[in-house]
Amino acid sequence: MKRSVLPAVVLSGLILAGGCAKPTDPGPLEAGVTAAREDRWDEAVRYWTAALERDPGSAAAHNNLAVALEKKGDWDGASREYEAALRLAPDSPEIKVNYESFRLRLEAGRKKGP
Amino acid sequence: MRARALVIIAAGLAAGAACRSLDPVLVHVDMPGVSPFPPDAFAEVVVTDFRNEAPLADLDVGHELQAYLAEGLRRAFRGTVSLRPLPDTAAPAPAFWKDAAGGRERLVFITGSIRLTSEVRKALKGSKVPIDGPFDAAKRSVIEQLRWTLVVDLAIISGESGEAVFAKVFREDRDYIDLEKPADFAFSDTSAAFRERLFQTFLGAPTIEKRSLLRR
Repeated sequence: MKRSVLPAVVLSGLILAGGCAKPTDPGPLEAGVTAAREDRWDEAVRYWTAALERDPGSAAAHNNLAVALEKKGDWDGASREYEAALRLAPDSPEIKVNYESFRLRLEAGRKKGP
Repeated sequence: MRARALVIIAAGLAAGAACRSLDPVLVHVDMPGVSPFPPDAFAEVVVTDFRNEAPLADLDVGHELQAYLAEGLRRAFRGTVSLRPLPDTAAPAPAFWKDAAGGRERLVFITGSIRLTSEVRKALKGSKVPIDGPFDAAKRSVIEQLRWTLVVDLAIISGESGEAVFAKVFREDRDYIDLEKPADFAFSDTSAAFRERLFQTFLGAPTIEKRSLLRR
């Protein structure tokens, strides 16, 4: 490798690391994920609602809020949030899988009716 | 040359590790059950006494079941839960239920009959089977078990129409080595299993689901 290429490679790696690394303030989106992983879902909902206030176009916040609403049994709210997330990020495989799993579970549960 | 390669690898690893930290997070979520009934289908549930078709000397299982169901419903159901005595007739006409509802909307009655019975059952003890003669039953010993059976013929009746919106016969069996196992003990075992199945039918069974949480 030529000597002149080395600083460029190292520099680009460091810039990439800096860009991707967690910021000192993780922000409400990340804080909500941490709360949810620790089973503090009400707190997670507050964080993700705040994330949407900060950035209404956040597909991630809509997706995460949908999961939390599913957890609370608010099917209409979850459906609304998943659909908003898909409108914003129609190609996200995670949102697609989440929404499909939610929809199939809801349909299966309601089919067991009298 | 070697030091230069190490620097490049370290920079690459640092970048990779930092970026990986924002991958989606897979979580296992305990989701509530999905009720087969439409949301807000019921605002009030009235649990009647259950007609006892096999009365026991020291335990009124019809009355006990009414109290047990109501107690569970008060915890699981957001609406009002109240009690009502046993109807005079075994299968009251729709007009009876409509009249009992008194015009209250989205009210349902949970009613029905109950039978808690026991029998001693005999069986060959499997552990005594000789290895050289699986059909030598004479060398086996006989064991006795007490089987208690709970049968609940349950109906959910709409207060608006007076008609049943759901009806099912539930059966629970429990076998006990102790031939003196009392009825109240067996009722406790079997009614707990029955109530769990009923609530799963009524309110849906909770499940653990996988979902992805996004971080960016």
